[in-house]
Amino acid sequence: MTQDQARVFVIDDEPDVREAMSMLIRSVGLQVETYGNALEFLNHYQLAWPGCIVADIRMPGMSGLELQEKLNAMGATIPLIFISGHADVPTAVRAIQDGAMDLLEKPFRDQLLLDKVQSAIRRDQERRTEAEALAQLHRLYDSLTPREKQVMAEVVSGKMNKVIASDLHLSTRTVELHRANLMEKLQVHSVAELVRLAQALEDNG
Amino acid sequence: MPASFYHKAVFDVFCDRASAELQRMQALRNLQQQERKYRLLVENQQELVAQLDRDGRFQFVSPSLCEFFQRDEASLLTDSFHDLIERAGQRPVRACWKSLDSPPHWAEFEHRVQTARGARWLSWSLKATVMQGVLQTVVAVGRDVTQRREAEEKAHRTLQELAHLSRVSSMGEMASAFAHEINQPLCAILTYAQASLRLLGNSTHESSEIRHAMERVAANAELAGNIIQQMRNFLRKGEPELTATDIQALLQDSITLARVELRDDDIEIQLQSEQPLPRVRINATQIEQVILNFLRNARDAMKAAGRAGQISIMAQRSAPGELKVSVLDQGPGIDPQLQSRMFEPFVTSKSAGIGIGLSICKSIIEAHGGRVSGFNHPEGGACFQLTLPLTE
Repeated sequence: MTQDQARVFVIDDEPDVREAMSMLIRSVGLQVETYGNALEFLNHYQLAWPGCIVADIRMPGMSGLELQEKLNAMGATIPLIFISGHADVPTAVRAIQDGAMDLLEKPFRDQLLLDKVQSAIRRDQERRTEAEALAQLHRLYDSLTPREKQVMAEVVSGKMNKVIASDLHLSTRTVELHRANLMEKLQVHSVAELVRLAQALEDNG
Repeated sequence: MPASFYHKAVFDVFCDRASAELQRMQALRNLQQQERKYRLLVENQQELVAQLDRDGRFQFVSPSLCEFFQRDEASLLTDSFHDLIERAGQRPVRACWKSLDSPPHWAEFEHRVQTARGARWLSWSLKATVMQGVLQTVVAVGRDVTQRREAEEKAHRTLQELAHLSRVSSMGEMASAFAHEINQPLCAILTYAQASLRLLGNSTHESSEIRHAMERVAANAELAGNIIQQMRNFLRKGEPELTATDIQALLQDSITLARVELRDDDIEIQLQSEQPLPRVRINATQIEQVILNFLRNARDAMKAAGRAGQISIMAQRSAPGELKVSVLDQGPGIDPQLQSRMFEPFVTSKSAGIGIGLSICKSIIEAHGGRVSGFNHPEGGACFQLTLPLTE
């Protein structure tokens, strides 16, 4: 099993429930790891591991909700599916507000769990792909010189080269040169593309 | 003068006789007066009085006795006490009668009688006169104790109803915990079954995995059944029956039930008991209820004080013919202001409590012939104890 392959992390204090869920999820060809409590999982888990978590919301020691808080504090984005013997409304609301993807009441239909697990894995994959693209973007932007960043800001605000040159006290020729360089570094081919990229950077800090 | 001497002699004799006769008459009058007094006493009292010979045949019956059994004196005097009682109350008197032979030559029993006025309860005390080891006569005094018996029965029923009520209300508390507990095996069963069905659909399935799943299905179904059985036993209403019970197993069951409630509270329950413990004749459901109540109080006390930790249950023979069970918690202890009154009804330290738990515990244990007590342990925490008489 490679570390970057999606896995389903099953956390439940009941050995039989844990084992049965593991068997069910493995039956559709997914990789499963089981844990008897949330702490054991947290001590083992690394942020880079893709997949999703299926956890009982009510466990002795660290509860499902506490696990969720810890994961949020760690900056983990791995989707969390809660299962619960008796999902009372306040607990459910809190779980969803804190970003849990789903809440399933025990006993549940197998297809329902598998659907939720598969869509969680898909969402995790998408989020990781997006995050990777954004990180790549930041890397490209960070490769610009301060002057190129200044020129870029002027370009995306819709100014002509001449205006930029006078704003920055540069020659038009120099501005054109910076502009060509930054477009090449950022791997964009039009001002429209550059504007979209700037927007994406702004949206994600 | 002989004539006058003769006359004098006759006169003296006459006087002696007359005086003796007067004395006799006085004595008779005294006796009659005394008899009237006693008769007045016997005939006008509520108690049923009879004098019996050594075989239990009536020698004397009071009017109250005749009236009670609606028999006339003459017919009762041909009857025996044993037959009268056994016909009326189906209660064997003869065993009781036997005990009159030995000191203190005294016996007591109660029985039910069907009368024209409905069912009544009679309480008899018998006192025998014994001369040289041989039973001579027996005086039997019977008293109608129907009111007292009815009051006792009512109190007993109320206790049972209260006990049932408190079981039902703790059932409410436990219902969600039980639902959770039953849900676990059900969820495991369903998921194992669904996974197995899916594996059977795959061409490459391993039968050993499916076999294992089916074994777990069976085990979990049994577990769910046991949980339901426990709940049923706990809820069962009806006349409590005393049965010889393994107290060790009962404590273990109580702990299992309590753990269902304590699973979120970081509280461990530990059982230490002397081995082997004798069986005790108890109503297991009621005693279990008392133990659960103690455990629940211990949990509430520790939780209210925000403490995790351990509850210890100890069971041992504390005195000859006595078994003691103690429940010790690691909470803040008993409020000294409540200490003297905590077994009274409607006394509670809990904001949401109505304060009948410990009072029911007390009634239950006392009905078993035991005692309850609660005190602060020298090493901290509250300790609640109950004793039960051993009947070996």
